[in-house]
Amino acid sequence: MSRVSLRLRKGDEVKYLSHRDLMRAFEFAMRRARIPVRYSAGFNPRPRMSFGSAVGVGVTSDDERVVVELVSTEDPSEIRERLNSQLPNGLNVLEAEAVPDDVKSPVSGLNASQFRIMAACGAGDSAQDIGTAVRKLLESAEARVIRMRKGQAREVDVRPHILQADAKECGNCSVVIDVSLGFGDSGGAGPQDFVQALRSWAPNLCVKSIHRSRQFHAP
Amino acid sequence: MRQLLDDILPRVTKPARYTGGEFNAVVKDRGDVDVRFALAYPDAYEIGMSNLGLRIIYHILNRRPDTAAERMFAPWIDMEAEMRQRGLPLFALESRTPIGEFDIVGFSLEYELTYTNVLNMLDLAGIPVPAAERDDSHPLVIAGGCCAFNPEPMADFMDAFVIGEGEDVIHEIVDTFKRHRAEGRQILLRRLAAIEGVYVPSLYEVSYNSDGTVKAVCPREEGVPPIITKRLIWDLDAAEYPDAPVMPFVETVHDRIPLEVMRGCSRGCRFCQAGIVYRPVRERSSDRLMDLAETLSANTGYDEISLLSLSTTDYRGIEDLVRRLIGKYEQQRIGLSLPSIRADAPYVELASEIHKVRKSGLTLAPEAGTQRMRDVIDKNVTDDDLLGAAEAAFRCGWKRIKLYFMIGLPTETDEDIVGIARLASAVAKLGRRMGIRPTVNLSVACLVPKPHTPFQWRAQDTVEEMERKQGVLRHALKDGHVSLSWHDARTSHLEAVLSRGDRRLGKAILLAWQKGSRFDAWQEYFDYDKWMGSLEEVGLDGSFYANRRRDYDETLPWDHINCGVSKQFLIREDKRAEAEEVTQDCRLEKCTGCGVSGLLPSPLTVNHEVPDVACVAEASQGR
Repeated sequence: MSRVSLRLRKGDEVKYLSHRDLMRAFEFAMRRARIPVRYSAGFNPRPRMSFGSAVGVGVTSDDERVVVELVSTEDPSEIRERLNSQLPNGLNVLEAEAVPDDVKSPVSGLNASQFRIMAACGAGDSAQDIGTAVRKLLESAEARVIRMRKGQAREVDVRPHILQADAKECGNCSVVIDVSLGFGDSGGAGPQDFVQALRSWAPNLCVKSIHRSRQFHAP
Repeated sequence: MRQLLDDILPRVTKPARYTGGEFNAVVKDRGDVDVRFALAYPDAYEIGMSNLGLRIIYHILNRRPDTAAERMFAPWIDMEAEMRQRGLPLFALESRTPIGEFDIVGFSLEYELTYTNVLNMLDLAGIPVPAAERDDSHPLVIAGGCCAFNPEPMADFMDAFVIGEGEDVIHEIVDTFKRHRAEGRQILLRRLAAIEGVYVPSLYEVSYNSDGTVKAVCPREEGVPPIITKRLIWDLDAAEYPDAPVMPFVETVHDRIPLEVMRGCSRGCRFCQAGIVYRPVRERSSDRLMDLAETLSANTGYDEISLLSLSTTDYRGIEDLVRRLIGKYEQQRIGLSLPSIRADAPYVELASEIHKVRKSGLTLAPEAGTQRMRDVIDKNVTDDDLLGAAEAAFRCGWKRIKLYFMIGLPTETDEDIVGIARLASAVAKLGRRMGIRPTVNLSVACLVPKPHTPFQWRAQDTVEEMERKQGVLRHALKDGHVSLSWHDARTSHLEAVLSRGDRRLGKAILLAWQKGSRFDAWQEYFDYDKWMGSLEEVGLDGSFYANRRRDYDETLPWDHINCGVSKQFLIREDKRAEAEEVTQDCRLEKCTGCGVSGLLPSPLTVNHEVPDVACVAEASQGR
């Protein structure tokens, strides 16, 4: 028995897959690649793999994590190659490494993500205005956003989860915002929350794309 | 296009329906092919992607180096609104090319209540909805599938129909298209009409009697065949089969390996259209099936193989096949499933062996509640068979049994309806006696007397009568372990109108679509009043098509379509129904003379094991 931790890329081609769609695509690829995955015991055995925090529909990523349990010890780089030959375009394994037995879960230490948001400034705003908006957001003690859940609106303060943000001009009327957002048991913020909060100061901000660059451990 | 999609897709439900890029999807460079063929399924992605016919044609066309086949489905209501608002035309999933730029668009017509979606998809593609308004700049629009056995209601919208099985004829269509495309649409249509199994409705004149019935459907010119005979393939082993099917990202209705074990059914249930139009029975050899299972499991990664056919338990050597498949795939955690089983204890035991662990629910279809009624419809199942099957099911570990019944059957009385309730509670009682808490789910449909069946002359019950009978059943049901669900009577009525109609119905379909009807098969979007209003506005009466008993000598709107089974046979069967006489399965007893052997290739040689012994015997006698 062994465990392999995988870092996946979710590219533009597959960014509209829901987390569930992505898990399905990955599971089918595992079976086609004949990776000797371990199955759970019980009435309805399932392959034992666990996915880390996933990006939302429409968001691309260079850092989606999956930990797969295998019945035997396998060379992680071979697992990577075999999977990559069976994954649909846009979805691929960037990195595979064996998980030491004494590590409980290689994803449990991750509690933050860095996102890159490409945006157009919108009517009347300049890239500098966006930069100012980001600064004002970081200076505020609170950032209240509305989240919809099962048709119910709920207001939450996401400011504690915005760790860092920075806006840079990027060509004509475009900005690139790098933002680090925390997540964990005590709640978290997604890039959409950040965009909503930022719109308090930059109401015309028009998001072109959102990409997760990496996950990391924020102290 | 890409930016437009990026603006739209975050706003719609299940955006992965519209992105393409699935594993095994075939993407070809347009410069590399002569013919671009869009395969259109007029329902949601999850429904269309579960259709075996679409997968077969996709596979066959893409195997041709000169052809690229792509897929498209009906955009869901929210997606359509976005597309219309932003002027995004309907596009194919593989290359995102607008459908209007394709050479041929082929629709799968599997259910009448998808007809308005066909019109809507043509419109979204910018293709004129009436075939008569299309010119050489537009794609050729064709359709196939089981609804094509009565093509008339959709005749106004199709350049051509394919009658029967598509494996061979699709090649002939593409070849003919290549050869004659430069000569203009009118010449091309005439060349297509010369292909056996292809029906070009614009080349036929429909005349009517003063009472509104069809007088005749006649070719308008010489060289156009008066009768269009269905196409079929004789050797399933030699037929191409989609061994690397596209793997949908979103969950679909049938998320498993479709392994078609045979085609056709010889049981002869008198209400069943598929049982007539897909005759004769042809089986795939178990060796071929084992090969296909191997390739399919390697190419898909699915963990379940579904043994498909109209009545899989009738496959000769089913036990042997199941044993071989289980022996090979149990270790790989690939399970088997049977879509339906005969209400007979040995088959239930077989199913139990198949569903060793997951015994979610077992479906049995006695179809009618009394022996008399089952004799009328020629469903050769007795109360004892059903109870024996239920007993076996409970014994094997099932707790939930689903029972399919129909109401509105010819000669039906309230006693037959009450018989459904009695039988269902007998099953529940049996379960309780065996010490379990059973759940019996009764699913009750309304008969739609379909074209090409022995009941094609019969009147469907009116909506009021169907609803009254549903009430009778509801009142008769007093067992707490039996739950009841039924098909909407008004939906069944429209299904009868659309399946039994003539060419004049096209105007009503057009109007209903213009008034906003689409996704009629989805209860939440079905608008009965809109349909009835549309029929009335174009001067038609739904009951003329659905609720009128037709004479045997009346010209039926689909009489020019030959499915191989003779009208004499259907009349004989209808009379035997009236007399409550059963007809034996011709694979078990003697030939019933249905006439399908007339389609056998001549000289009578089939290059592998003879497909259907009974049919060959009938053919040799006739020659």
